[in-house]
Amino acid sequence: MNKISPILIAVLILCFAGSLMIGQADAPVGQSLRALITGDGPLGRVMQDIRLPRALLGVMVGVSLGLSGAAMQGYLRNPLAEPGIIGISGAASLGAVVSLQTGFATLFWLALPASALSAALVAVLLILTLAGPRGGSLTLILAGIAVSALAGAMTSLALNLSPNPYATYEIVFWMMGSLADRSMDHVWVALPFCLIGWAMIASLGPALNALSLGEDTAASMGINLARTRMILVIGVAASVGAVTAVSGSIGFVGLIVPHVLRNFVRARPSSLLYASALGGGIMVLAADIAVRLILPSGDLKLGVVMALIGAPLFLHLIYKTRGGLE
Amino acid sequence: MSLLSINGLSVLRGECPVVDHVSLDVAEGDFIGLIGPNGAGKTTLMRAALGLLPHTGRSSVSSLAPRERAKRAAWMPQHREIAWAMSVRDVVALGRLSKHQADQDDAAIETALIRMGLQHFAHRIATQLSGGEQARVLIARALAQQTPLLLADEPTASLDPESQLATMDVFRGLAQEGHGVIASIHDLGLAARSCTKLALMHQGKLLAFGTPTEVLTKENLRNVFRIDAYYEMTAQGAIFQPLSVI
Repeated sequence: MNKISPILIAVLILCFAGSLMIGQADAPVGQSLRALITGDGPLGRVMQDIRLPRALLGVMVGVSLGLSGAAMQGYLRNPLAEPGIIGISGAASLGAVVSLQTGFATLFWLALPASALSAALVAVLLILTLAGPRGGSLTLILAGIAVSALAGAMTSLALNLSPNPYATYEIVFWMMGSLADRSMDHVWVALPFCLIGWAMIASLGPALNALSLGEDTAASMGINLARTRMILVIGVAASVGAVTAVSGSIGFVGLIVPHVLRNFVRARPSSLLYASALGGGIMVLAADIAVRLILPSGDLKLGVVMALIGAPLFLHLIYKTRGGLE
Repeated sequence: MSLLSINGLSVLRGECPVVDHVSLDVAEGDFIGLIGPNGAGKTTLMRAALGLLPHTGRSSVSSLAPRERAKRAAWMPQHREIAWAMSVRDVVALGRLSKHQADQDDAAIETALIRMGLQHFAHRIATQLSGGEQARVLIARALAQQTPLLLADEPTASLDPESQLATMDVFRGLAQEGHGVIASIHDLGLAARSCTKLALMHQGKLLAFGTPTEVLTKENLRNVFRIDAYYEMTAQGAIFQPLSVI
């Protein structure tokens, strides 16, 4: 554990508590906590059925995106890499969109996340097949771009062929990404995939450290590159596919968080994994709290707020990087 | 004792052999300079011998499991990459990845830093150093791996004369301590001065192998490098001066 981790853990706990306490049902902290534990009365239902799953999903989404972003940047040795680069989130979105467009999503509550996860699984198989058994990071990027482009085109087609404006409306709003109106069922659907994905990605620390010196050097240091790539793709697919399935597309977390935290962990990719996981959780929870504070009665989407926070941050990073290069 | 035994090793690119049935032994105390013109197959031979490229024939290192390979041989590729703004010490510490032993890591890292004259740079950011200094950091990383065998691809490229001589002295020192070293080198004078043996490659084949005087003959220089050169072994070391292109 590095020096910044205790601070990040403390901030994450604060944000989690904030996410539990802030909402339309305004109640004192003590009363809210009692209601959360006992589940008694309307406040108990609000705490257990609405705010708890929302806060838990916030952590799961943030940890998945932050961890995956740090792993992708470490593997590709590129600070502009993010989980979406290998097309998993695009494919998961496509699965969800097809499910909404065809009406499959209305058949049973699990239909939409199951469709998104299935599409993410197909994307993994396609990426691993396209990238080949001995391919390097370049072939992985190319395979990811191809899958991402294909998923984007298919999503546009699904929107284009939408049977009515309401279906289009529903699809577009789902694609903006949100944690609102989610239940513990969504948490239980995504959690096993997230845990598996996190464990797989966390095991890559030494390999990502070695890859800092290039693929050839890493291989000469005993790193199995093909195995590393497979664990990375499956780990990212499991965690990002699962959270995209339950929350929709939420961008910028996997790009910005590792970038911001890199200098706090002496740029070591293995340390950045843990820091980014915590930082991702903080960013998503904070943005979800902002969603509720900015427009308490409206339906401001988390993905939109994240983009509004992420894009200026990204511009600032570009400006700083340009300054360094000049 | 043989540290690396290569027998009939070939690497094909399409139908074309870029390394063609090369056999070579590296023993304790050997510092072998791999010489030859651009495209002769030097890098490919070393990468294949390490198991980093598919090949036919046998290499005693490539046949090992990846973890065991890393304990047997350290590799310093020609393309020097340090992706992140890590400290010099953290980069050198990566050499301990395959041989991590908490009670020995610090000593191995310090020894490597001192050997490459980097002890005062330890906390500097590696990516902010000059190209030559970064090369020394990466050599220190390979030294921290503490393997019996070290393979380096053009380790002295982009180094100033002082660093070139110092690097070759480090490699020679390693060989004298019982390690085996193979380094591809374009500076024939530097190779002749420092290496115990030279291996001359041309068009994927091992054309000559022996002491610098046995390999750097007028015929070999004309046939392989297409140059005439002045070469003399003196008490101060080898003197090599290219004179003209044929």
